[in-house]
This record gives sequence, structure tokens and C-alpha cells, in this order.
Amino acid sequence: MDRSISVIQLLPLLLKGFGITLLLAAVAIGLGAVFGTLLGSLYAWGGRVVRAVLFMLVTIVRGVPLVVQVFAVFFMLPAYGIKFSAVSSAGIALTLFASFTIMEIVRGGIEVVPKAQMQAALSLGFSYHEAMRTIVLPQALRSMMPSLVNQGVFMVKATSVVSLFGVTEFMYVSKEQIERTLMGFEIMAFVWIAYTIVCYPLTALGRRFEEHLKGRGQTSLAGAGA
Amino acid sequence: MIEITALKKSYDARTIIDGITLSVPKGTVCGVLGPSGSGKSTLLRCVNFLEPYEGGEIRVDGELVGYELDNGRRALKPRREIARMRSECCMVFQQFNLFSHMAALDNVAIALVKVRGLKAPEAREKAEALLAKVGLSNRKDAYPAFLSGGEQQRVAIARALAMQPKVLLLDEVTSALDPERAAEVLDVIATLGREGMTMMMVTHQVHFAREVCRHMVFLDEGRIVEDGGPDMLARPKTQRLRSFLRHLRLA
Repeated sequence: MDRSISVIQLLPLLLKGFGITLLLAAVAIGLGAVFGTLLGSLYAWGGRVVRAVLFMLVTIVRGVPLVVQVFAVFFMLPAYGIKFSAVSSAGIALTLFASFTIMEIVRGGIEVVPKAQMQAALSLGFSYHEAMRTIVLPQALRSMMPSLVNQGVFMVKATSVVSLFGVTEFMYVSKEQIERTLMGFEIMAFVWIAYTIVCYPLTALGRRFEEHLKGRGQTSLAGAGA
Repeated sequence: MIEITALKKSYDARTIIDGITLSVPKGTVCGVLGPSGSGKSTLLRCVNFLEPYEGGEIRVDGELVGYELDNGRRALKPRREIARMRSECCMVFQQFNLFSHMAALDNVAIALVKVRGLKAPEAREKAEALLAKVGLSNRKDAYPAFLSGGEQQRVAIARALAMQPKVLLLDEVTSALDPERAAEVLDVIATLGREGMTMMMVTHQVHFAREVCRHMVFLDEGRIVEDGGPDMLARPKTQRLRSFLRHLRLA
């Protein structure tokens, strides 16, 4: 125990951990958005079999706590000889979770866009893909926005789960330093502020985007405009 | 320009179109009348191939719509071919169906970019000209939610015209509009008719139809009950059309 040091001196260590947290969140959100959009579009486009398979996967992934999923990636894959570093395993687990959650958001968003929009595009000679990409998905985005922002904020916070597995992200490093220096209050206050500094702008950005849509006569709620 | 022969279409066991034969020569306007559920809209949607059909054939400019014949057997055309044919006989819908996330100008320009492969500035230039044609130059930056119904429908017509279609299919384009807004849209259509655009028009606007349509058909239960020239509505031959017109006047 060393009472002579301040949080300032711990800053480099803590920020390094925070960097890993942000990296994990960025990877999970970024890849999750890509896979989620693809899977959601696939669900909207797919036949009965595709839907059944995706529904099953969503049920499996979303039916258990995030912690359990991370456990599974950390302990089930190595059992089959597939080994990743702790950070990679965390990234995989979080991406998996984000992908299927975002898929559900995208699927819902697409279903809210009136079918007539797709038909109007097709009737002009758009291919299905082009119509999906330029006409349906951008409109789906407006109803998806609040959920997507929530999901983004949730993913930033959810990364803390992997501290349980020795991934040296923000929470893990902070806990280590608390145990070493016993500056529980100071370090936890710093942790609290740091998470807030990242999550608040995300929420604000989401609100700004909604205001922007309102300016075009579109709201984030279903059924806007004909 | 449009040749429909013995067309048949059903949903499950329900027959929607039951052997329609109809010809729309180049440069003419064909009016399609009939009660709800008589198959009018479905007929137009088949021509654009938004709906597949099981029997008979539809030809636009001599080309079979939606299918190709392979040793006498019918098979779906490749998707790209179907899309190309759709872009050549564009449809205007009762509910406008403008792309709600795009301003009027982009609604008209987008298909020029995505379907015809034009560069954006060139597409916008053409779109501006088309908006001018339907009298909406001053509204080009407005989003659909801020346009009146009549304005939306005129944008929708400009959007279809952008593809320079061989045929324009109009599906009750004024039914969702009040009489004044409807008149704006009908003016545009009458002009197109004078310019020699080939059109098939489902409508309940009897007076307008008499002015614009060279040829008219009256559908009921998926069949053509009566067809003729503009005077068909003044002197209906069948009891079915007479009673339909009587109800229309009372409404």
C-alpha cells in the first residue's frame, strides 16, 4: 500500500486499459453493425428456411446472459483446439452478441418501411439489392436509430464483463490498481466519469440525428410520411 | 405497343384476371374502368410484372413481359431483363409512393443514377427539367412529407418519366386527391397524352377518361365486359356498365 501517489500518476495505466475498452467496443459495434445489417437484410429477403435458421440463432444467442456467452467463447472454443488471445476472444464474443442484437433491430426497421417503397423502386427497374440499399435501408435507419444508439451505449458498458476473464481492459486495470493502491473512491470516480464521457456523446449524437430527420419531415417512429 | 392476350392470373384458388385480351397501340391512351376487385390494378401490375401471371401473354413493344419461351416452355426471364422491362413501362401509384427520405429532385434523379447509370450532376439536370415539366421547379428541394398530395403525385409522374418509358401505367393516380389537386395531376396526364405517350390508365374519373382516352375497357370480375371509344360511357351497351355508371354518378 502506497498512499503517497495520486490518480494522476496512475493515469497512463488506467487510460491504456480504457483504450482496450474502446477498442473492444469499436470492434463489436463496427463488425456487429456490418454483420447485423447483412443478417437483418438476409432475414427480410430470405425464405422460410433462412428465417428459421436465423430465428434459431437469435434465440440461442439472446437467450443467455452476455457473461455466459463470453464464458462459452473462452472455454468452449479451446476445447476444440481453437485458441485465441484473451482480447481476441473477448472481441469475438462481444461481436457475436452485437451482430445478433443489431440483426433484430435491422429486421424490425426493415419491416416498418412500407412494402410500397420497395415496389415503387422495383417498378422503376431497380434490382432488389439496389432497392434495399438505396431505398429501404436508409428509411429503416430512422426507426432503428434510438435502438441502435442504445445498443452502442450498451456495448461500451458491456465490455466491462470481460474483465472477469483477465482481459486487461479498463475495469480490470482499475480493479488491479484499487487493490494495489487502495484508492477505491478516487479510481472508481475516474472510471465512472470516463465511461460517461464516452456514452453521453453517443446518446447526444443519436438525438442530433433524430432532429435532422425531423427537419425532413421524418420521425423515428413508424408510419411517417406516405 | 401493349398486346395482352388471354391473360389469366389468380391468387391461390381465386381468379383475379380471367382471360383478358387487349391492345393498346403506340401513342394512345387506354382507360381501364371497373368496380373494386374487378382486376384493374392487378392488370397494370402484371404489365409492369410486379405480379407474375399464369396464363396468356403480355407483350410490350413486341417483347414478352416477365417470361421467355424455351422450346415452347415458359420460364422466368433473368432478373436483369425483368428490371430492364420494368424501367421501360413505369408505373404511377394511387398512394404516390415517393421515396420519403429523399427530396423531390432526388426522387426523380435516383433511378437515373441507379438504373440508367448516369452521373449524379447529369441526372439532377434531367430531373430538374422533368420537375419543370410537371410545374414543380420551385419545390425541388422539398421532402415528400412537405408536399401536397397533388405535388407528390406530379413528382411521382416525373420520376416515372425520367426513365423515358415506352409506356406509362397509371393506377388510380387521382383517387387519393381532392378535386382541385386531382385537376393538377390530370392536366399533366392530358399533356402527356397529347404528346403521344402511350398510357394505360385505371381511373374513376369518367369525364376525364372521355377526354383523354382513345380506347376504354370496362372490367368486371376479371373480364372485359365492354370496350369501345370515348362515347362508350355516354351510350353503354351492357346492363353492367349502365349500373356501374349510375352508382358512380350518385357517389
